[in-house]
Amino acid sequence: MNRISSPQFAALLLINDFFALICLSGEVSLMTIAGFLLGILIQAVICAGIVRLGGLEQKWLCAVLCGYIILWGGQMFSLLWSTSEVIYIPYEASGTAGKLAIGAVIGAVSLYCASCGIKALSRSAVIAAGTGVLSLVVIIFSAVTNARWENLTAPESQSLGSQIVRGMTLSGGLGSFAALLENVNSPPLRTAMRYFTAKACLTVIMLLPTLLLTGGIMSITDFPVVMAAQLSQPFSSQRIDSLFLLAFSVSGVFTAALQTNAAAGLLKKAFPEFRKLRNLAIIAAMIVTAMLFGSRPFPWQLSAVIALLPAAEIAARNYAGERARSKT
Amino acid sequence: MLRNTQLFPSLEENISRLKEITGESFDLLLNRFVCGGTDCLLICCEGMVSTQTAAELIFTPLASIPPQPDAAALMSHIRNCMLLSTDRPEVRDFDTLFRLVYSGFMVLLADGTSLGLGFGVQGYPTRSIGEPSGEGCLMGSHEGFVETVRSNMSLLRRRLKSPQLVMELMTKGKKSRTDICLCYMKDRVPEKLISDIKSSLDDMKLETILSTGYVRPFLEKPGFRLFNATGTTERPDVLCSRLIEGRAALLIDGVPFAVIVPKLFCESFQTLDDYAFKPVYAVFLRWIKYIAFIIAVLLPAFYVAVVMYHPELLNSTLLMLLVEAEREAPLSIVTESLLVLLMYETIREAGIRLPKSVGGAVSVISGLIIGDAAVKSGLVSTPLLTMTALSVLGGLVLPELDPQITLLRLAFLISGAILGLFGIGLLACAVLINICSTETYGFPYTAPLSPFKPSGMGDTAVRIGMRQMQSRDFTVEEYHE
Repeated sequence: MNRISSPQFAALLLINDFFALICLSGEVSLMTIAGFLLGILIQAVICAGIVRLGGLEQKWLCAVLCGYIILWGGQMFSLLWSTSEVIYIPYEASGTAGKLAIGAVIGAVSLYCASCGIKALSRSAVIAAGTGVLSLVVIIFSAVTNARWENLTAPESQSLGSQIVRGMTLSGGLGSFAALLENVNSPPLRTAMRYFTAKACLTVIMLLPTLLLTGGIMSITDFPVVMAAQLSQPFSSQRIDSLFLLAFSVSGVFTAALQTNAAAGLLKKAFPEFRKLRNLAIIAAMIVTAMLFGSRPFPWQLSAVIALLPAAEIAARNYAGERARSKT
Repeated sequence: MLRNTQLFPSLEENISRLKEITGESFDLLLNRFVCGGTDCLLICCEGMVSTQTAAELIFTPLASIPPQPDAAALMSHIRNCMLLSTDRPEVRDFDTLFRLVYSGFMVLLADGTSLGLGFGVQGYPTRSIGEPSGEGCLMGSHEGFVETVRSNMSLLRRRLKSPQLVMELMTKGKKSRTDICLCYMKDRVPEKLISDIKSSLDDMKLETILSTGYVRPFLEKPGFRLFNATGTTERPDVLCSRLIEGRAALLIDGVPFAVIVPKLFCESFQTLDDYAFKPVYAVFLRWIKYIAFIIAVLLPAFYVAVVMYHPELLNSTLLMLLVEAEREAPLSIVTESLLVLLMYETIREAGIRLPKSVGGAVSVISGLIIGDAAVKSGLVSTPLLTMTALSVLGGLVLPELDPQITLLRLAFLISGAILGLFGIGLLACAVLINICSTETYGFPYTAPLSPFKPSGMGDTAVRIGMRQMQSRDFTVEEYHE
């Protein structure tokens, strides 16, 4: 049985969130942190509904969720390409061909990772999360010494509502959450609540030092978290920000692998006759989606799908229940 | 085939059948004589029995047997009234007969009965017990396994006098008929593990078993895995500690190594000396080994990646030093690194394969003279040679992981040369997944790190004191998934 533990499940999803936060573009303020935290609270409430319903059984729902994960995976590839412009990757600069080559390499590694199964993926996610924590410790260590506390501001130009939506657009991992929850060997509600608590902590741990370090130059910064890593130099004569590249590539691969594995599982449920090359088809679909949509975000579409999923599921179950009652 | 061929009551028929099966092989000795008034045949294999023991324990007593009414009575007399050796199996078919004869037994057949009697009088040449060559230990026992399975069993039994230690002897290999001994502590090992191992061994259809590498693939999960989910040791004391932890082991006749099932990654960093020293020093040693592993695998790759793509990681003094050194070198840094690593592997292989007296000299000549000449001629830069030497030295700290370290070092070097730290990160993901997917019979190779078991960290991240360890009562079943 491919059962995974609650911490492994949380580690898998948190790497996904870690990557999304690295790729976060635009200004970060106290309002952003508050908006993101409120967004997480809303997601937790919605997911409590998904958890209460148990496993995904309807084929159409699996197909829709699979499509959603592919969309998010595509956006992830797109974020990876745009972020890699500020993190040095050899050959990446050589135009579309370079980007495609990098995408193909990440796709190939992710394909291998996904094909090893959810157990191997979740076991390694715990170790990879450990490396992520180490890189965060470096940033926080440096943030303590280089922090400018006057950067803790909440500009009026940012409304709480817009920041909530912004946070939710980075929560594409919820598709994988819904798809993989049935594999967890702990009570689902407790697992979900643990994950969302950890996610809230991760958000604060990543965004607060970012705000403290890059607050002064936030308006001219494309990727504030990456910039914070570049500014955080704990040693006087040794730069360490390229090591952040390791955390970036590792979390990128794990995010893609997680989406692939989750989507392939849903594809199997939706179309049982589709037996071979499921992982490859999913990865290819993600890269094609990334190329089609580029870096344009889909905030409303994603939020709508997230919100609609449990509602649709409830409707479907009620409908099925009524039909069964009318037959008897 | 032979298993179903029963012995004949007629001695002539048995002799002709034996000659037919063996093609009158020179080493099969058939001694006809009269014993107790009945025609008998004593079969043995030349060089496999101790002639002195046979003369004292078999020949003299057999010659003094009084006349018996028939062959059955003779066999009954020998079996019930005479204690010729401690190991006296009955022989009813040719399969058992050949297995015993070629294991150093003498088999007695008599005309008129299809029952034979075997006597254990083994006396084949064996290597005496010596110090293990590959698992050095400062403060532990200096005894290592030898090629004889029964000697190895006794080495184990001497250290574990518990009746819970079970040793099941079986024969595997259609042609070699190799004795394999499955050892486990009955009260510690999960029953399912033993049944699974037996089932895997039954699935094995090998003709010969000449090393542990013949058996290990059958005990591991199929698929491409870099690391072995089963371990080996040539130290009986190490094997005892593993058995106490609820593992199973296989002793193979002709192989001075035991196969341990399951094996964990963290065990490659543990030695018996860790438990002989004070915990503080043991923890220090253990972390030296962890760091050595990382250096062995990643140092050349990091060097190449940093010099080629991420020089900003270096401070100006170091950067200038490396630039100066590399400017003098005629080859690219990647070619240089690959050349040095491949040169080292060639020298190492030559050192291992050549006779010991020559092998050592080759290593010294190659390492000192060629290395010195390469640097002096400017073919290889000094910093690169230093990095490679450090990496190689790191690998030597963990001889058990040497094949994996060698391959990973080259793979990381190539990925670092192509894509810099990004490439190293990608390959690290693939390797991590590969390690984490390694398991055998439900025991994950990466335990107790992932799945994380806090109780296991006491002998992984650190080494707790013996007083705490004795109360742990640890068995490997804790890690089963």
